[in-house]
Amino acid sequence: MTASASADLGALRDVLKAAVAPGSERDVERYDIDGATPGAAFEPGNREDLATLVRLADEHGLAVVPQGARTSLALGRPLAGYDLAVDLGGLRQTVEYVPDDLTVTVEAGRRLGALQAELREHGQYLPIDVPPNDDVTIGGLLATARPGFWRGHLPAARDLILGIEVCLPTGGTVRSGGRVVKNVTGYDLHRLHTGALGAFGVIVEATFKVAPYPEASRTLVAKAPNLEAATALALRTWDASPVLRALTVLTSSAARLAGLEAAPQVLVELAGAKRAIDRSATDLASIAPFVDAPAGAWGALRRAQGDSERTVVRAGVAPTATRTLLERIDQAGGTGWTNIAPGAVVAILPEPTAEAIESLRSEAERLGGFLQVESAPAELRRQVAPSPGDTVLVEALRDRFDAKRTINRGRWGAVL
Amino acid sequence: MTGLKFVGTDIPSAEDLANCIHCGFCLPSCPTYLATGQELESPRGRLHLINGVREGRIEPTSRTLEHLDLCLQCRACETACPSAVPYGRIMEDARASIMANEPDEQPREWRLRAFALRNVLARPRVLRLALGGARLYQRSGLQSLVRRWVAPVLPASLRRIEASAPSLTAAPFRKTGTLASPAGAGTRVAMLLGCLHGEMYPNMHTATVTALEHAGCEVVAPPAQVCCGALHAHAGDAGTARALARRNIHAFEAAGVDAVIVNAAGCGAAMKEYGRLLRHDANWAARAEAFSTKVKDVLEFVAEQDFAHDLGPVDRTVTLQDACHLAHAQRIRKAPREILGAIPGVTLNEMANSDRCCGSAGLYSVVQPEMSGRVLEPKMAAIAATSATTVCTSNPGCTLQIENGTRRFQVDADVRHVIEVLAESIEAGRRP
Amino acid sequence: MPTNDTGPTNDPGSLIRELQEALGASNVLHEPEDLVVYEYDATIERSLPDVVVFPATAEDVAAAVRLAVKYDLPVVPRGSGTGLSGGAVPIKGGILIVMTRMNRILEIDADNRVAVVQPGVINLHLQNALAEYGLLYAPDPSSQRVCTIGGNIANNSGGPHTLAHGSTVNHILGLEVVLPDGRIVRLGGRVPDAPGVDLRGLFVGSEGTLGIVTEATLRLVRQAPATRTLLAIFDSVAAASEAVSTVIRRGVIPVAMEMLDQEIIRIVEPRIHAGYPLDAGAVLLIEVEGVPDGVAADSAVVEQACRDTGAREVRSADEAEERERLWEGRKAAIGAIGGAAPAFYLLDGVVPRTKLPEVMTQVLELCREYGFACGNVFHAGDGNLHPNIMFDPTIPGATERVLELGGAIMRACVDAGGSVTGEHGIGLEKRSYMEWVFSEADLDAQRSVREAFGPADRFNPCKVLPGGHGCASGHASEVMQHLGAGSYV
Repeated sequence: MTASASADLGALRDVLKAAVAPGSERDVERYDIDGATPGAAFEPGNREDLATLVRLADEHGLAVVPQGARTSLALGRPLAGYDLAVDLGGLRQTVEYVPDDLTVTVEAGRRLGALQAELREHGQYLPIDVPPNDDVTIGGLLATARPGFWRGHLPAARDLILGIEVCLPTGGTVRSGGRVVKNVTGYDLHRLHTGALGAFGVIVEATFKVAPYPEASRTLVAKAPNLEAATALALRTWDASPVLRALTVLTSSAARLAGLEAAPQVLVELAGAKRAIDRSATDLASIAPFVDAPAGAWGALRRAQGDSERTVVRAGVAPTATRTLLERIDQAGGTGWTNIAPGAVVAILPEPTAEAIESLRSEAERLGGFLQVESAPAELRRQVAPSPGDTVLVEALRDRFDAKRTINRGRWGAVL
Repeated sequence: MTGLKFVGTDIPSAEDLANCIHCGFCLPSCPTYLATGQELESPRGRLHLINGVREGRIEPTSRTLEHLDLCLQCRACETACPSAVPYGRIMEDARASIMANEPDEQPREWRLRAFALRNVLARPRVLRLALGGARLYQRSGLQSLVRRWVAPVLPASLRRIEASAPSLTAAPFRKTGTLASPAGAGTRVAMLLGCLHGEMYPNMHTATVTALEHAGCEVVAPPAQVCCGALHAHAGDAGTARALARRNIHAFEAAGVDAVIVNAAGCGAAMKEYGRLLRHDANWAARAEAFSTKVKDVLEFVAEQDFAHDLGPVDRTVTLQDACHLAHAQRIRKAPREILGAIPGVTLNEMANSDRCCGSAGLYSVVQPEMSGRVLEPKMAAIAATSATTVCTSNPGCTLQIENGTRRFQVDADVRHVIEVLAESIEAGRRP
Repeated sequence: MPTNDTGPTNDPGSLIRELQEALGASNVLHEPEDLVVYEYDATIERSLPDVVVFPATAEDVAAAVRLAVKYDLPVVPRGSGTGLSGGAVPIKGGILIVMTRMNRILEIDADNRVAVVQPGVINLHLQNALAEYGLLYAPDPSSQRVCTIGGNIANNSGGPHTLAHGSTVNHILGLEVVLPDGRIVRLGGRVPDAPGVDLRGLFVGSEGTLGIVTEATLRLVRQAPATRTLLAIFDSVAAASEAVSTVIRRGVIPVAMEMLDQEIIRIVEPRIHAGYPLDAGAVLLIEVEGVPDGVAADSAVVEQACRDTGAREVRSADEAEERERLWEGRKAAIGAIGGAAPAFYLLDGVVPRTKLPEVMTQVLELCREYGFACGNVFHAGDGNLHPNIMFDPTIPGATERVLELGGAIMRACVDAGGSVTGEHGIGLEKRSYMEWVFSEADLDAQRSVREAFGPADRFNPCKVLPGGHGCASGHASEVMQHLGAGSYV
């Protein structure tokens, strides 16, 4: 971890401390990232204090890392500076929830689980199952935009977001979108922030479209002789149009991880009206001998994908091309699964090397897709971290929103 | 072209143009827009040009008029239009208001075209003389020689005209008076013989008489009838169109019939609009209106009669080209399908976009051969895709164009008016 | 960024020559009589381009853009010209790039539910091509039989089925675009959730101000195994609105919930004969889809919710042809108004669904106050209003007052927590309303985005954002003098 402006931080810390409500400062030891601790840590209790901290940091050239549940900090390149940790945990209110509008506006530090409990009282939920679990914060799940098992069957965060409020390094707060479910007023900056790893500001608040909580759900599993047969079965299942919420092909080791028999398996979750589930289960029975499986299987996989101690990669290729990648991962001793609809192949690599990851990446690209490292040791991420896309545009945008690279410095690479 | 503007009594009305809300729903229905992708060759664009000329905002230069001229007047846009813009009559009015300028102001091609129409189609003797020469050319065996040896070296446009000439080997249909009077006929109808098609496609008339007789009608053809005037109206020669309309009204009134039967969709559409054509003429407006209500397309009329009895088998796989002036102008789509559906042995394979123009459009195929060919090409592809061996039409212009298309694109199908196929079935039913 | 040594030049003759060399002479229009039909879209806005080009490839588009840079001219993209906010009107002239020649469906990968198309493909043509695979592209704007996919992307278009499927942005996987500097770049990919900044999501709905789409990779969905359309007849808009909320409250999200009010029913029914009772206060068209048993369960909930909120009759249809008949009145509504009134102003506003009854009451009161008839046909499930104000533009002052009334209705939507456009876009029409929705800082952030892509006066200037160099105040009032009868404002 490179050093930063910490030399001057002693005096600055007092300036920061004086600028916000008393009791906002936190012990820096709790905010270790990739082995580095920040010069100071704060948990602002209101938006004004957050804005003040970010503005002062920007003025003084400090590198700020906003954080929530700290579950996806091994995503992106290692930081190029880390002076100030800003914990969003103090901003955790639900701002507005109108069940009949199917919309909810929440602060970035609110935990997904707490929000789900609140929505559940009205028979609704935010259909998002990002790794590792519902401890994630709203800001975190937006900034990282990691898809879960429901992706491809239900809309993802980037589809569900209706509006956003973001704190800029200059201290100003800007909004885009709104609180209505259909809106084309102005540019969709909220989509720009989704998955941007904080490059254009600190997410303060977001509005989502929520969904009715399904009347029932049911998890089924069917065994296959090999991954080729399992993938073919999953594709047939997808084509049969049952009320799917998840459809995943598991390698033997992934099946074991999920608490199932160690064999190639197709794991299915049906969700919706009871009658629709029954009908779908009947339809599926005519395709393959599906049997009921414990719903806990999903949670185990989700936790494993989100375990930042492991090296986890996610590739995206055409659904019909996923088998090639999954077989390779399996043969290399990895634990992997494919979420069929989005063509997402997730792998937990046992002995990760940059060469192994690059080789998988070129295979994914050869198949017309991509590969992203979701978590890995810092040293590895220095070599194989994702590119931000068209660097000319991203840099031009970053220049305008965070010219000094105050927020998450270096996450997208040296100049970003 | 200074001084040219819309003049006269036919200037497109503000109310007609006001119905257009610029929504663009007409674009994908327009064959010339589909062929070019250009707003200039679309109904919305043409209405905008016409409105601009009307308001004096746009000059009717030869370039402007070329865009109006490229319109097939197929009126498919009227079917697509959600706000009922009467496009066909706006276009006719626009052309008439250009042709109402002093002759030396009129665009040269338009003037020549009107001159030719006035002096050929409206004069049966001249027309027959011209066609007689053509018939001689075909009978003499010269045609087959030309097709085999000369055509390949002709310039493309000439070759196209040569190739599009119909087969004129059959004797023309020129009978008038009483054509059929079956015992116990309850209905008396008159038939329009038309200017060209009795000469070109006599079998269509014969078949029409057969079908009407089979449906229990007495059929007459008033000898004083003339060309319907549709092509003159389309070309902006409203004066000749009106003169022809008056003569026809007079001729058919004298016949005292229940209905005036037309087997050419373009003629029928025009005759159903005589009321509108003569609306400014105090002496004729009411008579024309009454006449128009009696005009029926032969398919429309026959489908309403008791025609399905005693039909014999006809072994044909057919596809149906909806004539623009039947489907769009007269809004008749069911009748041809009902008739074909009633014929034993006939299989109807519908083509894609059967109501899209074939590019014939009256004189269009001669005046705008290039665009006509571009419009014809997808039509022939749609026909070929049906594997039908007979293309059914309801208009002689379409028959001519599609016959031409079968030769040019090597599609193995013959072309028949729906009524000809019905007549075949009637004949087959009469055989023991 | 391409450089030019000589700096901007102004010789129109050499611009046209260079465009002709780059794109072919027949793909460049510049005569006044030709340009005049490219001065409009489906609004009343009018402004002539300097030159119109018809590219066939991304390279053609890039070449035209580079020439625009060289000659310092604006660039405006155009599809079928069916926009309802003036987005394709070249308000400051320049090069109008018409995408209609790029109308090929490049690939349908049915197994992976992906299609790759050129931007000039007409939405319905794509749907027809997909039907044989049992697939569909979910966004279905009411103008789908003519509007292009490129235009849909520019406007993030919606449609009746947005309620369940989402707007265009939810169905775009990847884009190839030409940027204001002439670079050709790819955003997104063939599968969702590519790593990196989601420039794809930002680009969709940017109304041609950030770049021109030259190819799009679309996410397709499988046609549902079963679909049922219900028509519920109510005595009032309030009761029908209550039914909409009740359906949602009971946990069912239909794929579409469309409302027609009495004024519209009375215009549509005599023309279309869709079977809507003339004395009904409102009708709701509701569609549910899914597996057959699920459809049965959901439609039972829908029907009960309608009856509980006072529906006097609920009809339903399962067969495609019958369902089509129920939809006919809805689909023909806007056009029918065109035939019924000399002119009308079609508005697009959006409010939280629960505010529907109260805002609808306000809309009708405002129309009464201003003395105009108003018919409403809209996406009730989304809270997306479409009041149609009917008027006679030949009456002096009528148009001004209609525009004022439109503004008052938009204000009411914003005050209710909604916004000024749900699917038609900001374009020229609503630039001045942006300040009602966003603060100056919010708008500055949007200006920053625009500048990151290129100079603000290059691509579709004076659209979306208020202000701008040499842009007029930003309302249709600028062109009111051109209003003729029949305007579809």
